[in-house]
Amino acid sequence: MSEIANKIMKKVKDGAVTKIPKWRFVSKRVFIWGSLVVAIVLGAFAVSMMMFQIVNVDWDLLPRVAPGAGFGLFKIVPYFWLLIAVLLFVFVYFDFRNTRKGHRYNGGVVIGVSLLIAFVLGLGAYFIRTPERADEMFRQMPFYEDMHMGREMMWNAPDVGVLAGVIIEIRDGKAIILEDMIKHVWEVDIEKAKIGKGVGEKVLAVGDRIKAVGEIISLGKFRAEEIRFGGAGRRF
Amino acid sequence: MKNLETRTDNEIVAIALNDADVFAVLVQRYEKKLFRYIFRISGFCRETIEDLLQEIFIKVYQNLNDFDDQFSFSSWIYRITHNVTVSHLRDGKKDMNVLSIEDEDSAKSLIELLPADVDLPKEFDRKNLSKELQKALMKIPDKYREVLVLFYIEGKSYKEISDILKRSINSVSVLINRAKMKLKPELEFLNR
Repeated sequence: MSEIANKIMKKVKDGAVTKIPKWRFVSKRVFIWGSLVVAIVLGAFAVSMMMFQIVNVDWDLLPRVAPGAGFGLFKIVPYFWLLIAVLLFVFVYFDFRNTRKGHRYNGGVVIGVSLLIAFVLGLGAYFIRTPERADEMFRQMPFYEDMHMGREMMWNAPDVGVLAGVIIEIRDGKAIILEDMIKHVWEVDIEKAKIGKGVGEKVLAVGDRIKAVGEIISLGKFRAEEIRFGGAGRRF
Repeated sequence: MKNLETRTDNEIVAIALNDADVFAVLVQRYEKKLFRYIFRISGFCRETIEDLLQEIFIKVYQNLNDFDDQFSFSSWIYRITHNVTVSHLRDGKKDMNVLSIEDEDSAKSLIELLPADVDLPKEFDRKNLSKELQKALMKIPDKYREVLVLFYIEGKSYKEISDILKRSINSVSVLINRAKMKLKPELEFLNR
């Protein structure tokens, strides 16, 4: 044996060098794959939240409140969930590269496949109404609510015929008193208004968050042609 | 030990997991190969390489339980060697020597790097050419030198290089092409 081989084998036999137990390597692999699965599931959740927020946009009113090519789209992008999703997929990419065979695959393919998995899972979550429930829960957190209220502020645009706010009084079913998102109080004529888009026979009640679509008739007075209700994912 | 000589690396690893003495077979099998490999990619002096070899074999022994026999042992040990050498290079411990590996195979492999239309000057005998080519290799960045050494001198396949450098096979192919481009200007001496 060579001198180097002798030195190494002496250290091995003397017990100065020992093998790291297998369980430590197995734990490391389990951790890598486990965190990969968790990141993809969370990514799928973020995707479902994005779907939910985009689907719940009143697309027909968007050109009215945000005129100009693309400007409305720019305003409705769910940046919060988009950022979360991007961070998770960056993590998935690097985590996957740490698996034994991860380096063999092209980065674009890894990102593409994980996005596809997240999209399919996200779609499933969307159909079982997971994002709706989650949105209700997250809205309890002030920072989340404030962030989304900022995003929803665009829907309060009485000058272009969209008024968003909370009903504070109902007068004989002919008019309501509405406090808009910037705390201005309006008397809204609802006599000829179509109530609720796709919600059937819903009756207006104090405390409802609504969008009134119509026009200003005088200072503090608005005539509604249509009343739309808010809800999970869309406060207004 | 005698009948172990005919066994594959992976079989020896399996035995070494239960019998530490058998690890010596792997050390003997790879000692010279890895010595040359470190020398070619780093230009370190003999003493430094011997220290690195000890560090490498100790790491290999400590991590023997992590070896996955779906991979080749050779790629795995080259991967560890790559990591230890690169880390040593990064630490700035460049105890360099003038390269001079004089085995015929290296020269042959290095000559394959030359463009096909190069007409070698007659005064370049094989040994001198090998020396000059290795000097040229030392002038290009580490990552390019290493991939050329692995492909042309160590004779590794794209897949093996991909496992050693932890890069995709496509990226290995791109790296080899770029490395050849980087080396080209350093081979100007051939046209003199």
